[in-house]
Amino acid sequence: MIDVVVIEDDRELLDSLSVLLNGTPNLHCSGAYTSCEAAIKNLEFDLPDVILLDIELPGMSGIQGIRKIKKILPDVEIIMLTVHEDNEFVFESLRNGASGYLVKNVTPANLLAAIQEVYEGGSPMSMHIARMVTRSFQKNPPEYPLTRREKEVLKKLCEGKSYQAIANELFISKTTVKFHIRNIYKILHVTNKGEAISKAKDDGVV
Amino acid sequence: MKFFHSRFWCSLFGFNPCFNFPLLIVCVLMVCSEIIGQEQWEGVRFDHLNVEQGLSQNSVRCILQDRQGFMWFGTYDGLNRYDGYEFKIYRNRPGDSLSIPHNSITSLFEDSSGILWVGTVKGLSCFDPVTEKFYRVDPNEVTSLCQDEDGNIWASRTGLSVFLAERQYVSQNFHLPWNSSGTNMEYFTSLLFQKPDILWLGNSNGTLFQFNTKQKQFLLFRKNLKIFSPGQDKRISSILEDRDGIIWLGTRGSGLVRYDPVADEFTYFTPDPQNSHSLSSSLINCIYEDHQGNLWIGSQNGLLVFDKKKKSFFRFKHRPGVPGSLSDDKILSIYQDKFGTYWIGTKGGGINKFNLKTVFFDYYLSAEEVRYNPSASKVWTFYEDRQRNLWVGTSGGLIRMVKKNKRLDHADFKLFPIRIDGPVNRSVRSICEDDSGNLWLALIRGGLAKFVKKSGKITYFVPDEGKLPCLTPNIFYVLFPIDQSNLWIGTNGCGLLNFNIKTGEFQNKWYRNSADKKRNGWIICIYRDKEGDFWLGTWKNGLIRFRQTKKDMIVYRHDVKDPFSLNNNTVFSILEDHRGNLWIGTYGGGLNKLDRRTGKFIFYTRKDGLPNDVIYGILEDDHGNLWMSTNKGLSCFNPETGQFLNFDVNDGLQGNEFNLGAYFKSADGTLFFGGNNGFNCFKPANMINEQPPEVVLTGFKKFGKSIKFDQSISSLKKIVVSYKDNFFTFQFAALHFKNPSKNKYAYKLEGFDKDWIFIGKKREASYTNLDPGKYFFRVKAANCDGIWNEKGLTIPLIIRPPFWQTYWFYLSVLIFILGGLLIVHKAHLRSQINQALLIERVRMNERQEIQKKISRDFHDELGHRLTKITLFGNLLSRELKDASNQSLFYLHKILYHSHSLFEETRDFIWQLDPQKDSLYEWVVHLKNFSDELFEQTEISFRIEGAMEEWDKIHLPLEWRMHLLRIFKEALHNILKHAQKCKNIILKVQCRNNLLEVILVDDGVGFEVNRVSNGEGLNNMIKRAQTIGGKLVISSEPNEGTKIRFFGKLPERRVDL
Repeated sequence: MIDVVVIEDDRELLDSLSVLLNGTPNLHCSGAYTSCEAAIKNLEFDLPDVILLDIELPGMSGIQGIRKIKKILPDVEIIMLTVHEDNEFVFESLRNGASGYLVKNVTPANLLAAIQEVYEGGSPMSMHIARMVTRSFQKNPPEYPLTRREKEVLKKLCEGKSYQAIANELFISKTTVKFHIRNIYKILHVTNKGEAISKAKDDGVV
Repeated sequence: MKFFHSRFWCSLFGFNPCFNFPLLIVCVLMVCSEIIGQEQWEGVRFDHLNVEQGLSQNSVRCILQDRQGFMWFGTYDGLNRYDGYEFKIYRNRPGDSLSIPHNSITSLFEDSSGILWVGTVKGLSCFDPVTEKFYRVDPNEVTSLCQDEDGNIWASRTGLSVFLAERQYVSQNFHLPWNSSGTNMEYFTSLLFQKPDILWLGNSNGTLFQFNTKQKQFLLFRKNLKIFSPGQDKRISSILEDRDGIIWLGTRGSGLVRYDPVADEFTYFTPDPQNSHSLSSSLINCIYEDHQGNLWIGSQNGLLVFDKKKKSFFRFKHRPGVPGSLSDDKILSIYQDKFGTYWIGTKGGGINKFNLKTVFFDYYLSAEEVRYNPSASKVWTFYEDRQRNLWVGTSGGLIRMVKKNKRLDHADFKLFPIRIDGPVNRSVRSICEDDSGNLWLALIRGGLAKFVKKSGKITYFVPDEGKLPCLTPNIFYVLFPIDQSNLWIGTNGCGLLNFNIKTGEFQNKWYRNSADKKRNGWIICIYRDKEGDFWLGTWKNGLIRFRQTKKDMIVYRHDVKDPFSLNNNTVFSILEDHRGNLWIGTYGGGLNKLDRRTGKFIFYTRKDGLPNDVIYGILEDDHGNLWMSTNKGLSCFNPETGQFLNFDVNDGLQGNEFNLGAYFKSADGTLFFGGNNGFNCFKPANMINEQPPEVVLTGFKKFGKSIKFDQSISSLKKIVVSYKDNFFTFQFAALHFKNPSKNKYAYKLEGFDKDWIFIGKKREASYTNLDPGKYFFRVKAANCDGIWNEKGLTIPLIIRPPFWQTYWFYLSVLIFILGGLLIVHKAHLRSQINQALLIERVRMNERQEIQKKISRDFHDELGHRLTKITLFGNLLSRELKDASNQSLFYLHKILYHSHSLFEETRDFIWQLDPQKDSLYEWVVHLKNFSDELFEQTEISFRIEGAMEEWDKIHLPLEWRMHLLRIFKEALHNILKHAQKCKNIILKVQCRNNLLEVILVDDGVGFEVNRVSNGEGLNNMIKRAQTIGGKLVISSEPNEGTKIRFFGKLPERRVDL
C-alpha cells in the first residue's frame, strides 16, 4: 500500500485526485491539502511515501515546500504537478529534491503508473530535462562526478532516446537505465545541497 | 719781444696739453692722402691706447682687423678685441681646452672663411668668432702665418707646417733637407706667400729660403745676408712683397733689404748717423705697406716711412713730454684698417693710432701766448706777402710771422703797434700790399696806414674833412687793390672810396644816401670774381654787383615775396668757388648761394647743418670744400653732398666766436681763421671719411645684467626673451676708429618706435614692458665725419608670450572646447537614441510578456479544466464499469475530444510563444508529442542531427505551425498503419538556411499513389508548398516510408 499525499490548491482537482487515488487498489491517499504549510504540519502523521505537489501554490511555493518536506522526510518521493513540462520551476524542483514531474492533464492511468514507478525508484527524465541537467553540471561541476555509465546515459537522454533505446544501446536493462537516472538526480540534489542550504537559510526554512 | 706759440691738436679724448710748459710748441700740419712730400707726416699726432684704456698688456706684437670690423691686438699677455670703446680680452684658462692655448701671441691671421688663426708661443689655434671658442690645432710655437691660393694655412716655426683646408686642417710638416732638420737653420721667423706657389721663408740666422708649395721642395735662396750690426740676433723678422713686386726683408742686424726679382738684385738700407733721413736702426721688427703704397718700417728705434722715389725715410720718434708723439720707439707691429686708420704696436708703449684724414688745427696768438699784449689776440685780418711772410692784423697792432724752414711753427713773431697818437692801439682790419712792397693797413678810426716793411715806418692817411659826404670818413674796414695806383676802401659810413696811392687822394666811389647818416653805406667786404665783376657786401643793403662803371650795378636784396631772393641783407663775406658759384655769408641768414645764370638764391642755415647762421668768412680749400667761420666755431661744407662738418673750441679752435673779416687762404692752400683769442690755421685734407661704419651688437642686458649667449653677441641672428624679461638693454658699437668718440648713433625698434631715435654718442637702448610679439631692432651709426651707415644693424627680437597668450594655447583651448561640445552633443544624441531604443525594447518586452502571460494563463486554465474533465471522466468510467458499452463509448469520445482540444490549444500556445521559435524547440515539441503518441507501443523514436545548432535556427511562425501539422499527421499515420514498425527516425538538418526534415519509419509502407488517406497526404504537400518548401513522400511496400521536407528559411529579420 502506497501512501500518497496530494497538495493542490484547486479543491475540485484535489478531491478528484484523492478519490482517484483511493479508488486505486494499491494506493491510499493519506492526506489532501491545499497548501504546503498545511501538509507539512501533518506530514509526520500522514507519513506518505509519495507526495504529489503542485508547483504553483499560494503562500509557500512548491520548491520551498520540497526543501521543507525533505527535511522532515528525506526519503519521501515527490512528484511535481505542473501544467507545463518545460516550466523552469520543474528543473528547479528536480534540483531541489523532487523525484519527478507530471503534466497535469495526464491520463489517470499515467498518473497511477507514474506514482508506482517513482515509488519503485524510477525517475523520469525527458530530453529537455536531460539538457538542463547537463548544462547545470557544466556550470556547477558536481561534487561527485558522474560515472562513465551515467554520463553515457545522460548523453543519450539529451539525444532524445527512449529508455528502451538507451538500454539497447548500452546493453543494459531498462531498470538499470532508470537506476542511473536516479543517481544522476541524486547527484543533482547533492550538488545543490549547499545551494539548497544557503537558500533554505534565506527562506527561513532552516 | 719773443712770443711762443702753443701747440694744440685735435685730440680723440679731449685732453688738453698742459699749459704748464711755456715752451710747448703747437704745430699743426694738415696732411694730404697722396704722397706729396714729407710734410704730410709732419702733422701726424698719435692717439694712445694702453693698459689704462683696457688693453691687456702694453707690448703688441700683431694687429688685425677682422671682416666684421673689430680690431684684434695680440700682446705678450692676452688677445684683445677692440670695438672703438672697450677691449675684450681673451686669455688662457687652465683646464679649458676651448680657451686660447697661451697668452703670448705671436701672429694673427684671418682666413677667407672668417676664422681667426692665432699663433702663440705654445701652439696654434683657430678662433671661431661666432662661438667665441678657440680650437687647438697644433701645440707647437708658430712665428708667422699666411694663406695660399687654395686656402691652406702655412705656419712658420721650427720647420714649416701646412694645415690643409680640404682635409679639416690636418697638418703636414716639412723640414729642410741637407741635414739641417731640427737645427737653428730651420727655425723660420718670417713667411710670405707669393703667387702662385712660392713661399719665402726667413730664418733666425739671416738665411732666406724659398719653398714650392706644389712640389713641396725647399730652395736655399740666399745664405747669410750681410750683417752690418753685431749681435747674435740675425733673424729675418719680416718679409713683404709690395705692389710693384719687390720683396722687402726686415732683418735684425742687416737693416732693410730690398730684393728685385726681375733684376735679381739685393739692395741694403742701413742706418747712417749723419743722415736724418736714413734708417734709424738696423734692427727691423716689421714692415708694412699701406693702402696708398707707402712702406712702413717698424724698428727698434722708431717708426719709419720710406719714400721710394727719394729713397729716404721719415722717422717718427718718441718725444718725451710731447703728448701727440709716438709712445715708444720699439715698434713691433704696423697695420692700417679699412678706414685708413694706422695702428702701431710697440713694445711696452701700447698702441699708437692716427688717421691722416683728420683735421689738426694749429693755434697761434692765444691769450696765454701773447699775455704781454692781450689785444694782440684779437685777430682781424691776415695777409701773406710776396716773401711768404704772414702778416696778422690784430687789435694790438700788426704782427709779422716769418716762417723758418717753411714752417710756421718755427716762425718768428714780431708785433708792430699801430698808434697814431697816444697809447691807444688801432685795430688793423685789413692789409694789402702795393707794387713797391709796402703794406697798406685799414684802421678803424684811423684811416689808412702805410707800413714800410724794412724800416717799420708807418705813415697815416685820412681823407680831408668835409671832402667826403660822410660823417666819419675814417672807419675803414676793407682794402682792395684795383691796380698799381688805386686802392678801394670799404668804409663804414662813407661807402666805397677810392684811394690813389700816388696822389694820396680819397675819392668817393659809391655810397648810399640814407636817413641814418651814420649808416650811409657800410661796405663790409669786397670781392672780385673771375669775370672781373666786383661784389660788395653791405650792412642791411644787400649784395651789390658792381662793374667799373656805376651804370652796371645790381643790388640783390631780400624780398619777402620772392623765396629765391637773398635771405638776409647784411652780407659779411663773399666767395666764388672753383665751379663759379657765388657763396654769400650773411649776418643771421646763414650761407646763400647765387646761381649766376638764373639770379636765384638758395640758402643753408642751421636746419641744414650749419652750427650758426652768422657766417663771418668763407674759404674754399683745395678739395672743393667750403670752410666758414661762425659764432659757433668753424664749419666745413661739401657743396656736392650738402653735408656740414662742424668744429668748435673742443676741436682745438681758438674759441667758438670768430671775427668779421678774419679769414684768409695762403698760397700754399693753408686756411686761416681768426677770432678773439688768436687764430687757427690748417691745411685740410679731403678729410671727410666717406666710409660709413659697420654697426655691431656688443651686449644685451636683462634688468641691467649682461647676458651671455652661446655665440658671440655680434654674430647673433636673433634674440628671444620671455614676456617676464620686461626690461632689457641693447648695447652696440660702430666699428670706425678714426674718432670713435664722435661716432653717432640712432636706433629704432620696428613694431614699437615710430621713428628713429637719435642718441648721439650713447651706445645703449633700453626698452621696458613691451607686448609679446616679433620686433626688429635697428641701429644705424655715423662715423666722426657724419657719414651714416643708413642700413646699419637689424636684429629680430622675439618676446615670447606667456603660454596663455600663445596661439597654441588659444588653439588648443578652442579645440578642447569644440571637442568638448562635440562629445557632449554626441553623448546627448546617443543617450536619446538609447532611451528611445530602451523604451521600444521595454514596450516590446512588455507586449511579449503580456502576450505570453495571456497565453500562458489561458493554457493553464484550459489545462486545468481539462485535467479535471479527464479525471471526472475517469472516475465516471470507473463508476460506469457496469454500464453499457454505448455509454462508455460516448464517455470515451468526450474524453478523447477534450484531450484533443487541450492538445490543439497547447500547440496553439506553443506556436505563439516567441521564446519557442527555434528549431530545437520545434523538435522537442514534436518529440514530446511522439513520445506520448507511441507511449503504449514498442516503437522507438530517435532523433538525428546536430542538435546543438538547432537553438540558433529560427523558425518563423508559419513554419512552426505547418511543419508541426505535417509531421504530426505523418506520425499519426505511422501509428495507424505502421504495423511491424519498430523504429522511427527523425532527421533534421539545416545548412545555409536550407532546412531538411526527414521522417523515416520501417513500417509496412504503402503505395504512394494509391492511398486511402490521399486527402491527408495532399494536405501535407500543400502545407509544405504554402511555406515555400517541398514535401516528398516516398514509400515502397514493405520498405517503410520516408517523408522528406526541404525548404529555404526566410531571412531572419533583426529584432531589437
